[in-house]
Amino acid sequence: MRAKAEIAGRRRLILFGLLAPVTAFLGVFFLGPLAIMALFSLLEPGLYGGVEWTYYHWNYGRILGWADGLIEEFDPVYLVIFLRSLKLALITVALCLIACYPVAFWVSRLPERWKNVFLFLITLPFFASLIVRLYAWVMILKPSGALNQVLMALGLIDVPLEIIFTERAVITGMVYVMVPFMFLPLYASVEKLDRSLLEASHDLGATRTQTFLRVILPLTLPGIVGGSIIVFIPSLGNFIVPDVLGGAKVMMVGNLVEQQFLYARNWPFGAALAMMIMATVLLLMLFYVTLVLRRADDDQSVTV
Amino acid sequence: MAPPDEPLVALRGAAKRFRTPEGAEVIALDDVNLAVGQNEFVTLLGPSGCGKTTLLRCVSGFEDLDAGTLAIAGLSMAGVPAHRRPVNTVFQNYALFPHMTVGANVAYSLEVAGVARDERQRRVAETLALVNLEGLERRKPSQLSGGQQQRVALARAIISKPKILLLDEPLSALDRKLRQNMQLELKTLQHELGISFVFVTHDQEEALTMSDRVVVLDAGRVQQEGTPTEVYHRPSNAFVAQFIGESNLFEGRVAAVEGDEARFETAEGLVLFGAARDLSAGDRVSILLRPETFDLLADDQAVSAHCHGLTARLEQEVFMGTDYHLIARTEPGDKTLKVTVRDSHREGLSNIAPGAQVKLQYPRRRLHALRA
Repeated sequence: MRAKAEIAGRRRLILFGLLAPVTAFLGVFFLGPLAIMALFSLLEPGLYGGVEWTYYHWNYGRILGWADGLIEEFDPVYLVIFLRSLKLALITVALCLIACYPVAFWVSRLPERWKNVFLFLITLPFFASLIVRLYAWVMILKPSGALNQVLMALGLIDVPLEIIFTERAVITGMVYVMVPFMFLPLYASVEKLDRSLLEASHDLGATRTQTFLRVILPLTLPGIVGGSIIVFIPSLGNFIVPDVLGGAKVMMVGNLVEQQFLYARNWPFGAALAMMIMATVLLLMLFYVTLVLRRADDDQSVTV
Repeated sequence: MAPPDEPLVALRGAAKRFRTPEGAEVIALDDVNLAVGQNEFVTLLGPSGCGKTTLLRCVSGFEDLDAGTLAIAGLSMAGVPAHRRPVNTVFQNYALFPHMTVGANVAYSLEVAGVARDERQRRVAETLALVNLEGLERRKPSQLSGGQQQRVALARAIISKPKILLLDEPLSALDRKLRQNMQLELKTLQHELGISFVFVTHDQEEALTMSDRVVVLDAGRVQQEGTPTEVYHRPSNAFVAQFIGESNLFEGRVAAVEGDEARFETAEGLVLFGAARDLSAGDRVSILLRPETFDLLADDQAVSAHCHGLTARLEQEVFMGTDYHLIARTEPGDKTLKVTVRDSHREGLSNIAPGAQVKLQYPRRRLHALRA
C-alpha cells in the first residue's frame, strides 16, 4: 500500500514537472495580457495613450448605447462594424465548409500517395507571406487586374467589375486564407469514416440522402464543428484581409481595434472592443457546441 | 436438399474482373452459376481471393456483374441498387453505426423505411430477444463484447425480414469456443426464421457444420457444389479434396476392373483396391484416402473382410485429445501417410512407437478415385 501511494505521489510530481513550463508560459504571456486588457477596458483613456487609473464604463457605453453625451458619444457605427464583422465571419465559415466538405471526400478516396501530394498542396500557401499573397489578390481583383481583363477579353463584361474594396473582395480573401484551416479537421474526420458503414446503410434500405443525413453527417460532425470554430474565431477579429482587400470602405472590428491602439491612442476603448470580440466568440461557441451536442443526443433517443 | 423449382437466388454465367492498382487484371468470378432455394443454408467456401466475397457483393448489390444475370425471387436485379434489394448483409467487421445505440442500430432499416415508432420498438425488443440480447437497447456498440456486437449485426440484418441473409465471414473475429456456439445458434436461427442464408467462409469446418449445401470456389470458378457429406467424401477434384479436411492423395492409374471392384497402381508402386464405379482399366486417377478411414491393426490381427491392408513405418505421433494424429511412410512406396486413430482404439496398441512397423487397413468402399 505504501509503495503504491509513493508511486502515485511520484507520478503526480512528474506530471506537475512536465506541465509547469507550459502553464507558466500561458500564465505569463496569455492570461496576464488578457487580464490587463480586461482591466484597461474599464479605465479612463490617458491624453496621449496609456490610462488614467479611474473606473470608467463609457468605453462600453460608446459601443452599446449609453454615453455621458459630453466627452463620450454613443455612435452606432461601432455596432454596425461589429455586426458586419460577424456577418462576414459567418459567411466565410459557410463558404469554407461548402468548398471543403466535398473535396475532403474526394481526397479521402485518392490513392495513398496522391493524398499526400494533395495535403502538401493544401499547406503550400503557408510557405509564402500572407501579405504578399493578399497583394496578389489585389492584382487579380483590381479594376485593371487579371480577373477583369480576362472577363473583358472574353466579352462577358464591357466595364471592369468593382470588386476590390467591397465586402465580396474581403470574403474572397478570407475564404482563401481560411480554407486550409477548415480542410484539415474536416479531412481528418472524413478520412476516419468507415466505408463499410455506408454500405451497411445502403444494404439496410437507406437511400443516398438518408445515408448522408443519418450516417455521414453525424459521423463527420466533429470535423465540421472543429473546422467551423477554427475558421470563425480568426475571421471575426481579422484585420489584415479587410485592410488590404477592403480598404477604408469595408472596415471590420479588427481594424477598429488596431486603429484605437496605434492611431487614436485610446487604449481603453480598443481594449473594450477586443473584449467584445472575445465575449461574442465565447457566447457563440457555447451556443453552437451545446446545440450540436443536444442534436446528437436527440438523434439517438428518437431512433431507438 | 434438392434445389426447388424456382430458386430464390438464380445467378447464371456470372463474370467479374478487377484491375489491381498495378494494372494487372484479376478474374474474381468466371462463369459462376448459383441457385439458392427457399429456407436453404448455402455456404460459399474457398481460400482467400477465390471470389466468394465478390460473389456475395454482387448479390447484395455493392458490385455489378461484368456478364451474366442475377434474379432474386424471380425478379432481375440488373440496375437495382443495393438499398432496394430484398437482401441484408452481416458484415465481416459488423459495420455497426458507432454513433447510435444498439436499439438505433437494430431499428435502422425500419426507421429508413418509415415504420412507426411503437412498431419499431416492439420489433427491436423482439429481435434482440431472438439473438439473446434483451435489454441492451441503450448501450453503444463500443460498450459490447465482440460476440455481442456480432449478435447486434445479426439482429440489425434480420429485423426487416429479408428474403435472403448474406453473411460475410461473420464469425472470423470470434474466438474458437464462441465461434462454435455461434455456428449452432446461426443454424437454429435460420430454421426459426425460415430465411435463406448465404454464408461466406474460408473455414471448411464451419462450412461442413452449418450448411445444407456447400459451394466450393477457387480462382473464380465453382469447383464443386453439394451437401457437406458429398463434398467431403466425394470431392470432384484434387483441389476440393485437399481444401476440405485432411487428405492422402495418390497419383496412379486403374490397373484392372474385376466386377464392381478396381485395382489401382500408384506412382509409388503401391497396389490399392476400391470401388470400380464408372472407371475402366487404364484410366489415370487421383486416389483419395481420408486419414480417419484407416484402422490400426495389431501384429496378430488379420485384415477384415471388405478392407485392404497396408504396412507403413510410423514416424510421428501427436495426441490431439479425442484422437491421435499419426504420420507414417508406406512400405513399399515411401509415401507419407496421414492417419487419424481414435484415442480409445489406440489404447489397445500400446507397443507401437515411432520407428515401428505398423499394419493399417481401410474399407475398400471408402477409397475415392478422381479421374485426372
